Amino acid sequence: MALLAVDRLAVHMPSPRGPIPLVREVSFSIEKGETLGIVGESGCGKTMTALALMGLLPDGAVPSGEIRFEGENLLAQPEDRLCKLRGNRLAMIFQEPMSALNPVHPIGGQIAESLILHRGLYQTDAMAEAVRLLELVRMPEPKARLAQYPHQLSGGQRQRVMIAIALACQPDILIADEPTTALDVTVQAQILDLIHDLVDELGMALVLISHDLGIVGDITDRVLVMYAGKVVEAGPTVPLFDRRAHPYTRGLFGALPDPGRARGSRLYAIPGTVPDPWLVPGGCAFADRCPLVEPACRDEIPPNVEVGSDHRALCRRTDLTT
Amino acid sequence: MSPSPASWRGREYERPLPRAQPIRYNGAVLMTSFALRRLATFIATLIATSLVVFLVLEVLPGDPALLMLGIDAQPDAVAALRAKLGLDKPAVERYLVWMAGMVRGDLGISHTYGTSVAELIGERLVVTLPLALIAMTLTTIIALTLGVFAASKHNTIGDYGVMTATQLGIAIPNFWFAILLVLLFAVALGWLPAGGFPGWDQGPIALKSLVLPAFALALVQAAILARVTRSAVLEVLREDFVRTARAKGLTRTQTLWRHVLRNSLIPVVTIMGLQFSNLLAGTIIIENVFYLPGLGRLIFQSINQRDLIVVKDVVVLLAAKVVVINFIVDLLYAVIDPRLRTQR
Repeated sequence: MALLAVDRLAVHMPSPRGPIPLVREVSFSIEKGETLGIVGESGCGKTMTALALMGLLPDGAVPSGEIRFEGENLLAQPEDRLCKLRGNRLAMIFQEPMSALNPVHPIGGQIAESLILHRGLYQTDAMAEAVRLLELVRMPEPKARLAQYPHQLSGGQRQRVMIAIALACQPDILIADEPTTALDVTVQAQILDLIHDLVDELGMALVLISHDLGIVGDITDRVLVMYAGKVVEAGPTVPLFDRRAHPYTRGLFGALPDPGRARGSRLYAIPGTVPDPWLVPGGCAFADRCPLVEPACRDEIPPNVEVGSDHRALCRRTDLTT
Repeated sequence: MSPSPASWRGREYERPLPRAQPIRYNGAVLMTSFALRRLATFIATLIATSLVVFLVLEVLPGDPALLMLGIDAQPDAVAALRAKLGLDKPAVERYLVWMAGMVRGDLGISHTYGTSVAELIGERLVVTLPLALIAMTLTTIIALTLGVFAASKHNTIGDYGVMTATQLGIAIPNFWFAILLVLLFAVALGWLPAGGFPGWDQGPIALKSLVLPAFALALVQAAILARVTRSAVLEVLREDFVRTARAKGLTRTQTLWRHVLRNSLIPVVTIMGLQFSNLLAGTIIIENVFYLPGLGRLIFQSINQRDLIVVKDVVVLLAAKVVVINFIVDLLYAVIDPRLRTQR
């Protein structure tokens, strides 16, 4: 049994114009110790998928499908059961370390909180454990940090604190939603190395959400490419990065700046933008931006084609992308 | 592409912090300069208030001596009383005499009561100060409970219920609400006294006689403060750290009390400070409805009887109270939000 199995997960937001699909038919599974990357442009449903896994969707959003954690369907569990899992078995790191920590409490207490909640530790023991966690995330002078407030730390240090909070109860799955996007490039590499090392060390499964293909390529075993709420390509990282079967995946790679390209030449960008969730076209959602588009793409839902071992793409013309 | 990180980073600093003065703890020198600045403000406020009060009462029609003796009094008797009260001296001299007394702690002698004003204020304060504190405590408890409840039930029947109730609370004049309370709890049920104050030597009975007036005072304030609390909490609920708290496994209620409330207290404490400062306007009316021998009633009677020295002293005292409350509010800002302690 997979540690986490997501089956046809969908998230809808009700609106006066009818429900808006934010995530559509997302399926994947993760084994213990496996790392999964989710890539795609902003607004493609990556974060919504992550929040659905945590049961922390915004008010009003309605999930459907199944999220099985060790066989238990999380979408069918009551809130108090989810509270016991969150921060304990499933943990999440957010994009924005500047605002994700409570500004009025010292960080020691913020780390100790989930230990007291889930492990039933006393305050002093929880604080001692918080020091150990700060050492684990390689925070300099961990003991002195306990009494400090978030505004006294740098962005990278705050993200280390966030990671310490997430790891406090040694979760089975760590979900990292763009954990380095808000950080300086040099700090980005440090934080990513840290996450990568800790995942190896502690044997956690990792769901890494990013729009940065370099990051995803470096540390994940499998990749989901999402577009307009759907998984358009999924497979093991190395073959997927080599093959790039879906034109959208190709576009994402084309949009990477190439250090060798001629100075002054324009960066490649996929033409157009992600369609608004309520305006997603009937056929292939990418049709309007696709260089390979043909009339059938706009009318029919594209087939889920197996393009390699365990590697699938949602496109009718994968024959053109070999 | 994704929203630029810079625009997200700025959000934390955009949150308006109402007139929160940074208090500097880093260095005794800075702290001392802060205290000295506050002391200077305090003295300047008292001088300004005393001047304004003195001038206003100068131009106010009505001769205290004539008023005390009645309009049929003999002119020479009036003149004698004026001399006794010092009203025949020039205004500047009278102001300076008053101020000199104030510095020595001598607030003068009341014309109508014949006792020292300090004593008079003292015995009224033991009624009004407890009344104000009870009213403020009730206000805080009611407002925070209702405000947090409404915010946590945002856009549901519970939220609408609180919003309607607080709208009513703001609209109802407190003297009318006081009369309703008397009709219900004193006349119909007989649980609490309808008015009067037996003195603190009566113990619990004295406390009981402050319950209805305190509720009457607290109603409007709690209604306003509950709305402030609700909107402050709603604003904080949108912050990212609320999601972090939930991701740790805290329930909605735990998140609300442990993480949201303290972050939403800055505007709440600001309004509480203003309300506490304004409480006296409420006590003038409420103490009259309930026949309480408090400061509000004293100022009302003194104005009626042209007992000018009492009016002047009480007004300066109230100005001092406002400055002290503002100082406490500023200290509370630093207690609530650590960022305000070290801000440069």
